[in-house]
Amino acid sequence: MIQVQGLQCRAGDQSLLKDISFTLDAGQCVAVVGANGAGKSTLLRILSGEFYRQPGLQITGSADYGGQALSDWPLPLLAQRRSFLMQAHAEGLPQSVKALVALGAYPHGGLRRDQQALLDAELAAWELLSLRGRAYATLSGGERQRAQLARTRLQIQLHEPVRERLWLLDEPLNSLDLPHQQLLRQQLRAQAGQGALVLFSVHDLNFALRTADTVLALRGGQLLFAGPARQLAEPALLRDIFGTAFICLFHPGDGQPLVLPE
Amino acid sequence: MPRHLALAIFTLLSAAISLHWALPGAGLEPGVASEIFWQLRLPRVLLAGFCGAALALCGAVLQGFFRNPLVEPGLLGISAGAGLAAVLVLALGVSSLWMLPLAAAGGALLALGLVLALARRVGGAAENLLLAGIAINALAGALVNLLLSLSDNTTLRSASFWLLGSFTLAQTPLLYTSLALLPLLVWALWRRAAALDVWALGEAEARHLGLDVPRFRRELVWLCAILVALAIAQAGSIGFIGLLGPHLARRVVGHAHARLLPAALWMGAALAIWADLLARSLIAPLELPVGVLTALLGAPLFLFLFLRQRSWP
Repeated sequence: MIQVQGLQCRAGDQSLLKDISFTLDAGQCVAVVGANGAGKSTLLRILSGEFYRQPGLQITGSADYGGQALSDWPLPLLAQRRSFLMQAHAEGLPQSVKALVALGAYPHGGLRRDQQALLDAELAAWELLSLRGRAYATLSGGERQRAQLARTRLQIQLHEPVRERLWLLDEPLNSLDLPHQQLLRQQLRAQAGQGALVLFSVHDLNFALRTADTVLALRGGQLLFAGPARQLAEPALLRDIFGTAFICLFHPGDGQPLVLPE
Repeated sequence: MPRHLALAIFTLLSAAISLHWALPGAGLEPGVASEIFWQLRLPRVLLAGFCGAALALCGAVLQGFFRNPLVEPGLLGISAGAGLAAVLVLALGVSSLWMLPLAAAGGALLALGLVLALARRVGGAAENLLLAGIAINALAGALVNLLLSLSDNTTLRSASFWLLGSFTLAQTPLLYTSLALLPLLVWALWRRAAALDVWALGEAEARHLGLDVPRFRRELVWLCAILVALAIAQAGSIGFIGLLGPHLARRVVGHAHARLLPAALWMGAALAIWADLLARSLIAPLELPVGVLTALLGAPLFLFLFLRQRSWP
């Protein structure tokens, strides 16, 4: 569904991404990992189409989505099947949680009367039903994060077929407590399980290992590794990616690998 | 919807009261009385309603656009540009009935064009528009003061009358043209209400939701500019309605723009009609400049709203 070939991104004389190539298919759940400033957000924002409209960036190489170059996709059409969760959100929005989540329907021309149930289902899925009438500005950080997650999922939820959906999330774990990290993990896997392509950047490597089936690892704007998630649990590779030593353990329950910085 | 209906009825009632308030009738020939009503009173009340509606509607749109509740239409350089052009025309002594409003409208649009061009040089983001607007405002204001300090007394009087705002000089052809254009402009802005809701999330989020940001920005700013220029060209600069109208409307219908924009329109019209009524009746037969009155009443009312706001609903 996504083909990236020789992708480069420069801002002035600063190189943000260098010669990146990979291919992703519908139904994959992909984690993008790397140290601060490795280029994770840049990659996601190019794949969202946003950075092609950003003055001051030079993007070369090709990035296709659904067989069409991302730079050519008309934004209104793209927004019907691709949503993006930003790393930081606007402060002090006065509208209610329900109104905020409903904005996800904007690319589809708003919610029709018979689609209200989808909005309620989305609020329920993120445990927001009891907060639905509260002003977004009065929520805690984790509650806001869940409201924004619900908004971005509703946006693609309204598009059929599922296999054309792309859900991009920049650090979706931000502000979430552990039980809600589990909830997020289930939702990401469920969306990929239905056939959508899910791509998220993350710092928690164990969350990546237990959630994603594929990993893209960046360092200094270069793609160091692209492959099955389980292969990430390799101290030598992790040292390459992050520049620090890691040890690899195994989960006493299910035997899955866990990694820790040494 | 009932709240909008109540607001609309309140505004129309205000207009009816203002139309008939202290209407000279007794002792006049019937023809004269009806001429006063149709030629003076009706255009005056319509002008007040139009200007209030235009300023408050644009205030609501621009507050959403800049994500800042302190913005009012004057901040984009529009009213300062109009003021400069009007004072220039008055100082040169070429003011005819049509010259003044046309020059004011031209000055308003020219100032906005300059603000847009300046902001585009650094990327055109909303904050840059505001900064460029503040600079153009200050420059135009300084030039107005320079012209005024060099003018004779007659020019000074007519210029200050205009700069303080007034609904007395209603030019009926321009007024009725504006009223005919109003539904069109209101519809064009109201169509963008959902986009304004999305815009509140942030510029990048708006892009991710499929909004064509440069086009949205351009169209919104020009629509507001045309509406505000029409108001300022006829009534001079009327302060505070563009700030207060949207705030009061938000109290009544909440923050969603599809509901806020019509409410701000009615609220602004009612505010301007009442301000005009007070301006001409408080010290009758003399008249207060209506712009002074809107600021005099608007500032305390705004402070009252400001102090009463609860940050934790």
